[in-house]
Amino acid sequence: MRTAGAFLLFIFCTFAGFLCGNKEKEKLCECEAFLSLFEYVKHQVDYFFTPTKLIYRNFSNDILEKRGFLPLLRSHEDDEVYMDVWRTSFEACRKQFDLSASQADIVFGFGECIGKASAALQSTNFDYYILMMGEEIKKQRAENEKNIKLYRTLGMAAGALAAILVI
Amino acid sequence: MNYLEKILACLPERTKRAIASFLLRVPENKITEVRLRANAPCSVTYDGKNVYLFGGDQVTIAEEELRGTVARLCEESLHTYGESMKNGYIMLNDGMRIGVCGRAVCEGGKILGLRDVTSLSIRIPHIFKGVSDDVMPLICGGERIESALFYSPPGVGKTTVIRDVAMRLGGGAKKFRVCVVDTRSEIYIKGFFSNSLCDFLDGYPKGTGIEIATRTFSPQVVICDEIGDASEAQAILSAQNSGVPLIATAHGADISSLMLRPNIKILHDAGVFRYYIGMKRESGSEKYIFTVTDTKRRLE
Repeated sequence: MRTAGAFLLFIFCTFAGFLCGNKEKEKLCECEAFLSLFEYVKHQVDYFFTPTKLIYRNFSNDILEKRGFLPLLRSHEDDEVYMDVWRTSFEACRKQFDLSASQADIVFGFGECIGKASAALQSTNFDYYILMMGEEIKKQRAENEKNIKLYRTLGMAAGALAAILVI
Repeated sequence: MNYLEKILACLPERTKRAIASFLLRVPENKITEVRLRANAPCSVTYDGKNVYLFGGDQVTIAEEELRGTVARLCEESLHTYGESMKNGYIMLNDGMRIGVCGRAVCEGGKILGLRDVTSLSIRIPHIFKGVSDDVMPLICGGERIESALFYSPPGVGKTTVIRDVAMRLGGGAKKFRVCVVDTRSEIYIKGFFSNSLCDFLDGYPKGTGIEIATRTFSPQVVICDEIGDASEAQAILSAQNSGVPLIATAHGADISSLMLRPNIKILHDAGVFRYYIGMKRESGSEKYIFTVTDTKRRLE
């Protein structure tokens, strides 16, 4: 009985370690998803002058779809008065994302630039946020390399320790 | 949502309330313009009269509120309206035009952009059917359509009249192929032309639009608004050589002031227009008074 409990404890801690590692991975995927959306928006504004309401219509990304961000953005296409949709949509599904505070600020900041200036000025602002998100991705990748290993090792070690203590 | 409702939804709360209470006293179809100025009184034009907006006291609007209004009117797509804003206006769907004043950013005499919007002039389009009844027999009474130039000072309703002319020519009993060069997207109104043979070249510069229309659409008549610059005159002359009649408008108080404009004079000398039709509208009336000059008969 005691051995079985120790084994379950070990499995639980190891699983928790892997879960934490996966969260870090998710964070990276979300940053990459936003980066591709940023690039897409930039081109829509830069080249096609697409109205903000319609920019998101043809963009697809599994992560942003699953988190509900893209459906929320698209749901405002028929609004008679279109205002601050990016901000309200991101706020509404903020909890679905694992992004850090600084990464979320970049997402908010990017949204603040859409449609609020001429195409040239927006393009310059977009470049800034694309660069920032690129930097965040680099940082996240570097952190992931050590953090994922760390979480997994910690999980297993904690599990093993707990199991030994129980036995 | 009609035009005024859409505008109201985009305005700051206090201005919105003041207009709503104004509408209790004046019928909506009498309002032709709402004008907003940063840190100055807002006004409404109805029946040709300009009045301040009152909401307890005079309604003024802050720069920040004006910026927000522009953003809402443009549906947060200033980039889409960038080019037209450089030319001093924002053209929304359904023929609603908003004049924009501000500080221009220039380089080499060319406007690169606009910052610090200081005034908005929101013109509310009204559809009046049959306003061109009196002049239609002149334009298409004979075997062919005759070229005509409508002139009047700004704000009398030239666009309203040629919109009706386009509709009557393209959708009347005798249907013509009508090409409308709608540079500022003012003539086209959603739904109004659904039963007509009108083709719209929307947003095209007038000169280029007239050229494309005559070259590729084989129209029986070309219609365009507010002609007057050199490239337009040149394009009109070459279209005229291809035998396509033109119906256009120009700013001018009377025929002599019209002829003081060099490019109009060139067109006149080339005999482009048969009729010069002056327009007037008495204050408070929806009826237009036309003064017709027939260049063939010299009748007035």
